[in-house]
Amino acid sequence: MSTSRGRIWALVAVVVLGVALTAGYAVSEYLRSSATPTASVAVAEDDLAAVTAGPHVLFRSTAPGDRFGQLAVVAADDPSGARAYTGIECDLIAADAGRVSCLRSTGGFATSHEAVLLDADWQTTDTFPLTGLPNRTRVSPGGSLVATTALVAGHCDAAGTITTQTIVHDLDTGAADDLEDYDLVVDGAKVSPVDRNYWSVTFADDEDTFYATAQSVSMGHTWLVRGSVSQRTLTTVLDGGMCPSLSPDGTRLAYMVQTSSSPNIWSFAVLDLESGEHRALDGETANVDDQVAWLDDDTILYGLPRTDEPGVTDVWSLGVTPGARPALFIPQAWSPQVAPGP
Amino acid sequence: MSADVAAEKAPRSRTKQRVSSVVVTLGVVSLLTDISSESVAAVLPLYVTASLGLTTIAFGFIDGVMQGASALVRIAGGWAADRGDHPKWVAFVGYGLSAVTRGALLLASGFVSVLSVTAIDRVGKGIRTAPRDAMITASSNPRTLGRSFGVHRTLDTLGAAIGPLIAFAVLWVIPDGYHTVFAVSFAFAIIGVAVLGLLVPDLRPRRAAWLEKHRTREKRGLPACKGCSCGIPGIAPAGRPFAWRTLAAPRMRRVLLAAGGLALLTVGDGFVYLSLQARDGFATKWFPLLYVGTNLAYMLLAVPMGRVADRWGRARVLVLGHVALVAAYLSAAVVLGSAWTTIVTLVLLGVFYAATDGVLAAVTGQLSEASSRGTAIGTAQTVVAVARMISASAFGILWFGIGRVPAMLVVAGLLAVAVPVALAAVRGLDNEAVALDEDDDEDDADHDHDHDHDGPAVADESPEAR
Repeated sequence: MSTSRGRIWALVAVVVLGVALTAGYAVSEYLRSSATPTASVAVAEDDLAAVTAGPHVLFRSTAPGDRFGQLAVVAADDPSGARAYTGIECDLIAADAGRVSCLRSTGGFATSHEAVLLDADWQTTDTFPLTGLPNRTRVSPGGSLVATTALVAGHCDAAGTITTQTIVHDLDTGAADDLEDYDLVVDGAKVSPVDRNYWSVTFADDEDTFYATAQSVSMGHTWLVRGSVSQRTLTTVLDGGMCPSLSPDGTRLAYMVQTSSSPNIWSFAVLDLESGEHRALDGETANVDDQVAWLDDDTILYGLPRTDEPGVTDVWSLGVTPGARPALFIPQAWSPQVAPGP
Repeated sequence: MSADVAAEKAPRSRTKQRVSSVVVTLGVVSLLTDISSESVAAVLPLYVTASLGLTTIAFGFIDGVMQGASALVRIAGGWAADRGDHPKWVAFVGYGLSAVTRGALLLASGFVSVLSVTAIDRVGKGIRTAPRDAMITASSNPRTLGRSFGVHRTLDTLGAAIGPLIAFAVLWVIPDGYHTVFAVSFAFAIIGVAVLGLLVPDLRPRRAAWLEKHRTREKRGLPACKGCSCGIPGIAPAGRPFAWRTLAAPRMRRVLLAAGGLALLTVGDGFVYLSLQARDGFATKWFPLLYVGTNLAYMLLAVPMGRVADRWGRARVLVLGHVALVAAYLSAAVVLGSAWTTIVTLVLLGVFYAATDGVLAAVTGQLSEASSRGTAIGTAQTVVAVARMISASAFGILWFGIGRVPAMLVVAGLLAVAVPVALAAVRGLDNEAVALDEDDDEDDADHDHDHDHDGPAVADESPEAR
């Protein structure tokens, strides 16, 4: 091929320049990364056993440094105070009855995703593979049921849409139910839309009843549903809401509702299960995307990403009474779960 | 110049020859570009969740819309290449657009901006595919077109395999090095665009076809002697103008019907992987790696299957490749799964892609006229892509309606019935192409003395490396 010498040299110049600039950038990033101070500079650390001796909050630490992404705990009465790290990496955390569910993605030549169950001493008791990125998890109050939701990327699939897979594990029997196999009952009639999707389970204290999100894009609805593991059914409770979280007293659901479509804003709302009354919590004006955790019967906890610091998030608290304002609860944290202590 | 032209003719003999350097160069461009796009694709989900906060619904919705847009842009890319008769520069725009998005990723910090950047990248991919495949057709010996596409697809898939390795190697050294991955990806994209812009000749397929048809100076409206005059209009013929109706030619219609019809009876790889996963712990553990297995088989088999297609008939291999798909579905539906059935299924999927992906472009390329080749290839790829989207949705209904195993068996059965029908529909097409080819050869023989024509097949370089 009679490619001119000039073109070859031009290509060589592009390659050399490209490689040199990229290498320079990579080296500077490497130096920056290895020079980053450990989290302890910014965040005070405490002894693990001391914190877990009393009421505490488990969370994912997002403080930059080599403990980024680790499961950590703080005392419930001093949430912004010293934290203790477990050394266990978790993207999402749920805990109840002394059992912890930790969902994580592990990088490597191919990313893999798993749910790891831990006992009160942080020892692994079970590991379940997930079919996609971790999305939500919850443990039942009795500790026998664990729900996980993963985002399943339909590789080369119809329209490449992302779907969810939600599994409820019964740790006593070893059963693992995919919610898609349950009967979905909408307004008293059984339906089975092809594109039904379920996510964000929250358990009641009878070790059978739970609430979750059900969605069918083709039917144009996103519902809060009440499920039963023994009956294998899901029954709609409310049309237009997602990511429910049951209050400790079992009477209310905190959930997400779209309050504006342009700009796209999701807010939290609370549904009274007995009266059916629901009300948006307008104290928080940011666009939220989280399944909340209840601190007590009057306060919810949720994460918000920092806009100026990629990867860093904060956990905020918000009262469910009208007019309540959000307050920073745990800085540099995500996925909070309240535990009473032994 | 006459030596170059003689070199261009030489491959018509049946001796073993090398693949055109243009095809190899285009393969290298695809390799570099795929390293670029797949390195980002491998870390993007983690980046979005770890740093940006993900909204499930928005992600799925935008992704769906963009898939559709990418399919339509593909026809437009082919059409623009045919219309202007400069496929290289249309492809350049497509590759360039994707390269720019890599740079933009370094600056994008919000979820929405990352999604828009990904969307523009898809549009770039849609634009470049058909012109590139038209260039591969134009610069290849028609007798070994299947092999040429095999070589290109092997390099392309190799890039797709290297990309994630580079990305994870970077993250291994720099744990939060997402921006370094983007920078590396940007560099590969720029080098790929530079290779295309600097090394690939500005092929003029339409013009070349006109010169091919009008071989004598007289037919070209040139003065009878060389050097008598320059710059008269006949010297730069525009070739036969592009026309949509060439797409409706009977033989093209038969290919589109056969390929589209068969695509309507496919399941979507996602469902095959889910089916494997539903039954087999091995597949669940390696779920994110299943497509890598398919790609590996595809990469190793693309050239052999291209050769087989050249020998046995490309349309025939395109249709018979679906037999591998039937076998893959049966294997995925087997009730008692094991690691081996998973591996066999992935290899069968790889065989299917090797026998159909590049071969579809080769079939359409060989049957279309140079004036509408880009549009024809783009249309065929879009027809198949849209048919697969429809069939994947329909299969979803079947899956939930009658269950996983029966649904797979039903589709496998229908596909097994459809293959002989499609085979009958494309019967004779391969012979027809060979017959056309032989006409050309006779033509060559008639005019072998006329190698000093003023317009070679390409504007300023010969397409064949010796």
